[in-house]
Formats: sequence, C-alpha cells, structure tokens
Amino acid sequence: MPQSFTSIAKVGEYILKSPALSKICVPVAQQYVKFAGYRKLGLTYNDLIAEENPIVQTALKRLPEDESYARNYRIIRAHQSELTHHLLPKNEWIKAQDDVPYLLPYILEAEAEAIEKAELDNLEIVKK
Amino acid sequence: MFSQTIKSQLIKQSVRRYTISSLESAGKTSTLAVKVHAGSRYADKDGLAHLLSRFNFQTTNDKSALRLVRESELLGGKLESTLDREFITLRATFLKENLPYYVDAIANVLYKTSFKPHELVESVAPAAGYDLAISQQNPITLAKEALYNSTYRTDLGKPLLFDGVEEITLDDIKEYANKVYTQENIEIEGFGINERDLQRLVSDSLINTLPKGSSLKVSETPKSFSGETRIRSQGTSVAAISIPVTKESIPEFEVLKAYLTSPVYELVDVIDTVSFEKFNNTHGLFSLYVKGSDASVVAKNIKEVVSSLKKGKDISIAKELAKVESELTNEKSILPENHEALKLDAVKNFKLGKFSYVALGDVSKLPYLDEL
Repeated sequence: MPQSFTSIAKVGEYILKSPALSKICVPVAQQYVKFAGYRKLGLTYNDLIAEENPIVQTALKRLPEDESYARNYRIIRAHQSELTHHLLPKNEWIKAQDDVPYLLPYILEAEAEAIEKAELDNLEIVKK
Repeated sequence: MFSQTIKSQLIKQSVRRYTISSLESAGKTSTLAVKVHAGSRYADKDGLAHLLSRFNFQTTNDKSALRLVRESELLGGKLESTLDREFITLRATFLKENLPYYVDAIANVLYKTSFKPHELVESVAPAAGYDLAISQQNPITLAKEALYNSTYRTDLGKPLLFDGVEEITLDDIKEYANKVYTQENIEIEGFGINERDLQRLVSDSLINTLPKGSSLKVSETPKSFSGETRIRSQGTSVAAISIPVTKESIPEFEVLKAYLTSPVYELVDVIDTVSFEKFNNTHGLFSLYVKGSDASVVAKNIKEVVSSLKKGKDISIAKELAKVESELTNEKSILPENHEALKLDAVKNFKLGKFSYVALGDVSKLPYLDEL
C-alpha cells in the first residue's frame, strides 16, 4: 500500500514530539533540504509533491487563489532556471521560514474525506 | 395517516425561549421540523437565505456531510432543508425510535456547521443553481416571484432564490447564520413524537445552548404597492394578479379562494391556480393565475376573470367549503397559532379593488394593467 500523507504527517508529528528522535531526525532533514537544493530554485517543499492523483488535484482545486498563483509562479521560475542551467540569485532563495506546508492541510483534508468515503462504502451492517 | 391520530392533544410550552409543540400519532414514523424565521424576507442580501438553507446538513464540527447522509440512510430517515419567504425549515422524517439521533443531528447543524470554503463552491452553489433552474422552468413560480416583487418591492418582495446577481461571500452566510440561529428565533414542531420526550431531548441537546438573540418575526403588515411586471419568455404564457391581504381580511380571502376553486364560480375552468399564502397569520398574498400556450386566449380569459371580480360577487355560498378546507389544514399543522378558527360570519361580498399584475410569455398579446 502506498504511504498516505496522513500517515507521513502522523510520523512527523511523533518524531517532533519525542525530544530524542527529533534530536537525530531534524538535523538529517535539514541536511536533506540543503542537498536537495530545491530552495535554491525558488521552490518550497510542498511544490515538489506529485500532483498527478485525485487527492492532490482536489487539494489544488481548493487552494486559495493567491496561493495557487504564487505556486504557479514558483514552478515556472524553477523551470526557467533549470533550462538556463542557473540557480537563482542568492537573495531570491527560499528561506527556511518561508518554506511552509501551504498545501499539506488541504491534502490531509481531502485524504480524510476519501478514507471516510471508502470506509462508508465498505460498511458491513450487523443486525443485533 | 392523519386519521390514525389517536391523541390529538396539543400542548404548547415554552421551554426557555424556543417554542416546542408536538402531536402524537399511532404511526411508526415521526417528523421533526425546526422552523427558523430566516426566510428570504429577512436576508440583507438577495439569495442569502437560500444559500444558508443549502448549507444546512453540510459538514459540522463533529461529522462530515457524507457520514450524516449515510448514517441517516441506514436508519431509514430523511433530512431536508427547505426555504420559503418566512422560514428556513429543517425537517427530518424518521422511524419513531431514532428520535434522539435526529434531534442531535439538527442541533449540530444549527450550532456547529463548519462552513468550509470548498463546500460553498463544490456542493452548495451547484445545488442552489439547480433549485434556480427548476424554479425557472415553471412559469407559475416565475409569475409568483414577480407578483411578490411588484406588490411588496422589499421584504416579502425579495427574490426567494440565489441568482448570482448579488455577490455573497462565505462570511455573509456565517454572519447570517449567527443572526438567525438563536433561541428566540426558532420554533420546533414534532409530529408523531411524544411531547415530553421531545422536550427532554431538546433541552439536553445543543439547541439549548444556542446563543440568545431576538426574534426576527414580522407581525405587522408590510407596505404594499400596486404594480405591473412584464417578462418576455418562450413557452407558456401566464397572466396573474395578486392582492395583499391584511389580518382583518384573511377570512374573506380564504372564502374567496374556496369560491374561485369550486364549480360554483362560472369561470373556474379558466383559472389555472389560486394561491393564498399567509405569513405569521397576520398578513398574506392572494394570487390568481391564468395560463395557456396561446397568449391571445390567456389575454381574453384574464380580462373575463378580472371584470367578473370587479363587478362584485356574493361569495358567502363558499363559506362552508372554506371552513372545511381550513379545518383540514389545521388538522395537518402543529403550530398552535394556525389553530384559530376562521371567523367567516362577516364575509359576504367580494369586489376586486387595487391589485398587482404580471404578464409572462408572449407579452405583446397580453393586456396591460390599465386595460384590465
């Protein structure tokens, strides 16, 4: 079974809650972000989520207009930089505090709806 | 079903501030209706009441819309929210033993609907558009809408359904919900429910913690005008007239309605619909519709009807019929205020005075107000 965003978010929360685990995992994550380099192309982490599935499509549809515009702008800018084999000027790199999970709440909501629907569709009724 | 009513005992009791009334019956089903004085006449923006009505039974803080519908289906019940000019009515029809579930469901809707932005776009607005499309298919509904508008202009004259002319945001809907869903503004009616049970369940439910507000109920007769509206459209032609009714003349118009729909009136075949809608039992609108595919026939018929009514008619012959009809409706209704017996004795002659007029369809063939 492919991992659902709900379970990933749950694991993340669990790690952040326990001091010992977060001491190990957070620096690793920071290194990962550094070497992945997406911030240097002007992208945030949520821009990288594969959008070719119904759940993310639903989430994207529900995204407020201004955020959706900003997302498209970032993606087009990143494509342009890639084509020209350049990184963005350093002052345009995404800072850590701007790398917010703007799409994740919508994905989680859409996913919860889909899970609930599947549950209700496969409900078995037992007569007492 | 109504004949099965063994105990038509009616108790009106005010628990805190909302009104609860209930009627017991021997059947297996019950109906619970929460009537909120929040219909289109109370909305500040046109169509606001319609959107709020469509937002009922959407996702609440406790339960998603889908889960509510599926659970209700499994229990064999039905939930609906309807709108008229006076009320938004939340109605649940269900098997008797499921009363607690439905009291809880309706209370949740009133108290904790979460008003999610995507629901407005994904389910509420399309549903509202569907309602509008249906009502626009019916020429009588269109004519009625126009009659209300030209008779009252504002208040009762506001459009019933959301048509997108005025822009409504989610915040408008939330604000309106906070304004109308208050303890003073709701009436709870039960049919086939034990009155004590209902009272106990309601006082344990979230309805009891609804905010205190003020009743919006309008009792005085709104200002009325005499106007004319002409709407060109394809298909059936309709000519209609309406007369605003005050509290004193309600019996007269009840009798008139009975008279015009019974074979004693010589033009009964010509009239398509006679409607008399009362609001809070203090005022109402009487309307009469002539309909046909050939506009010239409609024109001839409406002229005949109006001139026969203008001459004056002795309608006292229909008193008995009106009495029986009103008793029949009283038997079905639960609200105590509808149970007043009609005082029909004074009714004798009816003479048509001022009225509003609507021509719809092939308007070039239909008469003007001053030609009637």
